[in-house]
Amino acid sequence: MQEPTFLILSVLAAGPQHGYGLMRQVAVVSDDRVHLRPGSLYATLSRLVDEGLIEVEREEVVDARLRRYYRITETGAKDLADAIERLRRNATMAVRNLRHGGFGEVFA
Amino acid sequence: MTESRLERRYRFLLRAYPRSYREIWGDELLAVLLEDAAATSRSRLGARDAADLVRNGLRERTTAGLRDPVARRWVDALGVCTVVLTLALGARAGTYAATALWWRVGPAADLPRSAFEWIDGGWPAQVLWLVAAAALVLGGRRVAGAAAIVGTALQVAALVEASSSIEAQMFVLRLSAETAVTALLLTPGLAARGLRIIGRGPRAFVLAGLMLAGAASSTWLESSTMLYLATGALVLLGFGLVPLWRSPTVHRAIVLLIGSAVVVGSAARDLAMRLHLDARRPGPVPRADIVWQVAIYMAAGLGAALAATAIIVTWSRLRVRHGPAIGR
Repeated sequence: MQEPTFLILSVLAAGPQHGYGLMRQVAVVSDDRVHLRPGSLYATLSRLVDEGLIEVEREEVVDARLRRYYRITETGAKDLADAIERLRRNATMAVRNLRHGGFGEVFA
Repeated sequence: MTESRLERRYRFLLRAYPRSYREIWGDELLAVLLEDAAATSRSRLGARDAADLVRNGLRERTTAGLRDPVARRWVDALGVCTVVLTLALGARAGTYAATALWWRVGPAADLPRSAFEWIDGGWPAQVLWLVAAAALVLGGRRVAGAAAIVGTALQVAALVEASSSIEAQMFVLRLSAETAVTALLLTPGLAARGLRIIGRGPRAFVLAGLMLAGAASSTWLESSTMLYLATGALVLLGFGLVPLWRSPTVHRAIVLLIGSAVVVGSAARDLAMRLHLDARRPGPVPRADIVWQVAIYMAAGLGAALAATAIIVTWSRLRVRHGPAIGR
């Protein structure tokens, strides 16, 4: 799972969010590391909808403009959990190897 | 710039996306773009946002938008062709470099300066194709694309400078193939797909195929586009035979390569005959004639590349519809 996908699913795991809100939240939860531009955001969103990992919760019209709220699906939550587990295992392994190799102090 | 102008510009850029995608996502994407512009008090079109839109729009038109598995395979096949043809052009450029060097330092080195003119004209373009092929193999797809653009541009410049029909004949036949491959290389996601598929086969076959392409194209004085398109097919067969020969993608790539070899080959023969007639005409070929030939053959190459992608993508869209459904 690529980082933007991971971050979008993570944001939606906390509750439904609309496109612009997702853009902002992804920047917040990644400590301003990942700034998705609208084109890239929607490339990922449309793929996630197609794959059934997220779905549209409701549609609103705000200032005469369409706004869709997305929520994570069961499948999406499961995929996210799998990705987290994989990351956790890799992180644990990497920390163990660093300590084993005598680089433990970088985690002081 | 008023907001409505900004909106108009965004709407214009959204045309990079296919209509079916715009119908579903267009209004929402536009709303987010405008909201972002308002939040950052921007009234002008951001260059990076614009580039991001165009890139993603083209991706959606070519590779990312394919939901149909059969169409995906055809696009994969086109990706394989892109890589094979780039390598074939690179190998050919390598042979050219070696031949040019041989003429310069070998037994023929004491010939008069005018004997080397035909080498000098196409020289920089050939080096760039060598760079493009190497960059593609080493993973620098952007470098490969840039080298291909500049290489093709230099080829055009050399051709327009050419004053004899013999020179023109040597350059112009290459041009349609180089334009087509450049267009394919610049299609987002295409070369990446091709590399992924070819990467599944053993690397030794890639190298063997590359050397084969180089050897086969060393008869380049006869300068036939068909020759290296067929060589590209040989390269593909070379490294495709053992592990990939059951792959439906590779079968499709072979069909595409042979098809384009036949089309380009017959066009090349037609042009060669026409130039042969020209050569018997006294005096230099008028510049306008050469410029026309350049335009026609570039258009043919570009058209072939675009048509191949467009046919596959349109066909895929006719077969599969998609879009968000509330609470699906």
